[in-house]
Amino acid sequence: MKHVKIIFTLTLIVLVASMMIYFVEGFTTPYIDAYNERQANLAKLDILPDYDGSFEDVSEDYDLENSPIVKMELAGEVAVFYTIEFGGYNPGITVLVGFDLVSNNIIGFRVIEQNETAGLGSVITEEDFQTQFDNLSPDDIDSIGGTTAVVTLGGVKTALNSVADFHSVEFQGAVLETPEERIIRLKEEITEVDATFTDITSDYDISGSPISKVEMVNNGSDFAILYTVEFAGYRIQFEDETRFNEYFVSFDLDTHDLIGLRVDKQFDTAGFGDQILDPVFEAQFDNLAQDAIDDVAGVTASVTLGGLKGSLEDVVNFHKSEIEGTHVETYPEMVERYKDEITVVDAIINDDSANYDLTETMVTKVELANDGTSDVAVIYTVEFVGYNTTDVVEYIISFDLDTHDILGFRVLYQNETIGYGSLIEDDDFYIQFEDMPQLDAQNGDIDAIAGTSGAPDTTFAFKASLYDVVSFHQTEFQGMIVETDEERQSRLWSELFPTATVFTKVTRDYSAHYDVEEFYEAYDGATYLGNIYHVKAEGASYSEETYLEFFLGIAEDNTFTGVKMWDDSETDGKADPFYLVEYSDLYLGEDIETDYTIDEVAGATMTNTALQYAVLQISIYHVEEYLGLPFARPANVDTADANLLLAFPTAVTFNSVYLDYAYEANIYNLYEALDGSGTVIGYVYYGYANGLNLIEFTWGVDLSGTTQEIYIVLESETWELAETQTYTTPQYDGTAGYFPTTTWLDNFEGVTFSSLLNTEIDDIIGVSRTTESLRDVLEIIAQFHSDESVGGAG
Amino acid sequence: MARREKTLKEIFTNGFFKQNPTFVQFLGMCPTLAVTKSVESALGMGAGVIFVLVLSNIAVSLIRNYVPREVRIPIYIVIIAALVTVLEMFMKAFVPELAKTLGTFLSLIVVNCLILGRAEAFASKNGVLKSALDGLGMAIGFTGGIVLIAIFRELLGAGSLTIWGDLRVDLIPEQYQISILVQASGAFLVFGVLVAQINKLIFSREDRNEVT
Repeated sequence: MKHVKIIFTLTLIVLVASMMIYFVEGFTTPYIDAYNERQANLAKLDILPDYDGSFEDVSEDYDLENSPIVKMELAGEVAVFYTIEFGGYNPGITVLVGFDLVSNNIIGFRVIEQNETAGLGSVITEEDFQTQFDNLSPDDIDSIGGTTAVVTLGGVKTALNSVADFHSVEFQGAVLETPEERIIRLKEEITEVDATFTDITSDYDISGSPISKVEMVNNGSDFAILYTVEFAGYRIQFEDETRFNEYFVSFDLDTHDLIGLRVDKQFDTAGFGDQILDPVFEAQFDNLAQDAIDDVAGVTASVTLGGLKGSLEDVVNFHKSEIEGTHVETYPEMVERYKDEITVVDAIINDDSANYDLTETMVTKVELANDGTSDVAVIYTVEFVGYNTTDVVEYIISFDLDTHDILGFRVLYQNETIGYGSLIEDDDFYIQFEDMPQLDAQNGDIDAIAGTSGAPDTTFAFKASLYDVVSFHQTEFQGMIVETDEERQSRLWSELFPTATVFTKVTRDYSAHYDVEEFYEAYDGATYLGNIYHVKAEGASYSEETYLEFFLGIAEDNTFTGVKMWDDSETDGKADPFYLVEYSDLYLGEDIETDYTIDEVAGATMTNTALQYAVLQISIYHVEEYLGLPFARPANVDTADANLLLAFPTAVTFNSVYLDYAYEANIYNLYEALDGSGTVIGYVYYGYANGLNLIEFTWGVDLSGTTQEIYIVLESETWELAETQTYTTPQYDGTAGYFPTTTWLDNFEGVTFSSLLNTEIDDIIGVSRTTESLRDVLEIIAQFHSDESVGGAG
Repeated sequence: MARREKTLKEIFTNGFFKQNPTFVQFLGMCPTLAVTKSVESALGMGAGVIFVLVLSNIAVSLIRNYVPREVRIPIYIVIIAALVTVLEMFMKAFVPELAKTLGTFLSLIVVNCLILGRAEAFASKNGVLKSALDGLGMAIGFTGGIVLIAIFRELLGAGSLTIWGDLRVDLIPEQYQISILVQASGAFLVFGVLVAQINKLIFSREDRNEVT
């Protein structure tokens, strides 16, 4: 009984509530409609200010089913207004667009409702954008611009084009193609007009391929094959699992090249993926050779383009095996062929990896090639990271087990830049490895990938991997005993000073340097040749403290004899290329006191910067401490007074006094700050730090050692990474170039140098490279100020 | 000792200060923070809440003796939702610009805890007149609270006071405005400061009462 009461009460309440809403709705609807009408009319009258007639809703008279049009109104015989709904970056853009009934041009475009990203897609509501549509010919819709929001813009264009088509049919008597007519036209465009198409799909097994239909094309005789192909673009992968893109592609039955390709359906992003509809894009497929598909470009939407190319490669393989009757090589078959090519024909390959320790090498697999009687060669599978740091390059290289020279080289997988690093798998590149002397491979004495215009990063990383493989081979197959540390040190030292016979440790005779572990004088008998510094300096990692350990040779004439890497803790073998002889040789003969440039290798810009910074510090130490001479400092670098004034606002004039003090690598210049009467009231440092990129700054300090302002003169740091961090206040407000205004810099303003040196200032996670390097340099300056007693400071 | 029955005046004024929904009971915080950017929207929201709260209290009070306990909350929700829908339609029909300003928050009156709170705590236990007075008093208290916050936010943050439509005065030039106050974080700031001040007043009065 109780349940009955509950049900009854609930039903009754719902009924009463519904009745109330029903009556109120009946009462208010005319008012709400009138308001909406007024709003819509305001937009219409805005477009058509001189019109004083009424607007007649004629939506019912037309078939609006397959168009974005939701409402259609006639303004007498003057104009027609379409209310259209479509999606941009977000769904739900409602737009009123007017067409003149005489000229049939667009006469106005007003956004009624939208939900696009503020500042990007929302630009479509702005007057500058909307005035583009004033008296715009429907043919020019695609020329509309004015926003970088390509997705929103694409949505607008697609919707308007569709309205323009509708308008031309209904008001200009245009006859649009039916979908069937369109398909026939597309097919004829890539075969021949009036050709006949016979469905022969059932003759083939198309399962597992992207092909949905195979047709024989006949113009009196069979001359082409046309495939209907479905492929997954962006939409299908990320949004809607049913929307396959589709194209037709035809192959000549004589040459087996492509005749052409036409996209039939695509559902990808307007402005991006839909670029595959561009006739210029499609024209690339005209008479395209089967093996040139990879060269097709011109679509920024990589997912869509990749989907199209991938499916087309499948179609080519299908065509080859089914129509041409050629066998299509599978990946295992290709690997087998490669192994034969770089060893002996019909080699028997045995995986011997289990017998080796592969943990410390780039070698991932060791295989022995047997010619039927004995093992004749060893094949190493090797992986390294080239320019594309998110993927690896995998190759095989074979060594003759008799001569221990290289037999051949083939790439199994690479994802490097097309036309640059990708040329590592070019036949021309392969040739040089046939019977290449082992020493050439070890020393990286090979042609650069992609020639001189090249792929230096991939090349360098590849050379480093070759060095690794050769070393591995020498140890495991040539019985070469791995150098002991002493042997290796002795070899490196003799590379720095080939004629030296004696090395004398002199570290204790001089005051210490933080980065110098030990240093030695090199003698040939009694003749002094130069010094070797054993350096352990800070590396370049973002995330942790790393080190670079190396020997630096400085000859008696103050030129470098080389940099020999000993050890490092950089990430992911980033420092590997620095171990090569040719990197060391870049320093050879450079005067330690003049400017010299050592290019980075293998994209390891920051490791190179860190290494060079350490070399510079040691050079200064060598001249000032070892030789007891002033370091031939570079010329002072000047900066504008305005930059100095921002660091010391109460000063009036500035006067460079840097030459009165010692040289410090991070200080470009040092200025006295003078007031109006010419009295010195403080100093301004102009210096730099190596953040992610170069940071230049000015920094004022008064006579009591209290810092004034710090002003960032130059920077291009990626401060966005500080977005998630809070220090004392949010460190990032979403605008580019925020770094110079961060409150983190306040740590260095209005404090004394001595307190700065005694306080730990945290760097900010996410931008630790920037904050750490700047903080370190500022501390160096504070120390310098005291050490050098600038203005009597102690 | 039996509790003394509250007078009608006490019921009506209870929500003004002593049990103010905004500053003492912390009910309906969502609209409190969201629509207090301008006095106009605060007044509009307040008017909406007055309408819904008075009617829902009356309706709940009327049916209080017939509603099975088990389903009272769903029933209150249906009543409130129906009233809010009706309110929304009326506002869209007669004050469409304000309806646009209040946007989603208008529909969200349904889940304003103040409405359901008074239905459950008061209207379901008291007669129609008392419930109507309680609803009116509480809604006025709520309106007063959000209008007070809006006055501070709009005046200090945007330099103006907008009572209704064109009835607007600009008082503070742009360079002296504290624009954070019209942002979301400003709502919290102003709210926090006002709560602190009001509680100080209440507590010091209670302290005095205890001493005397």
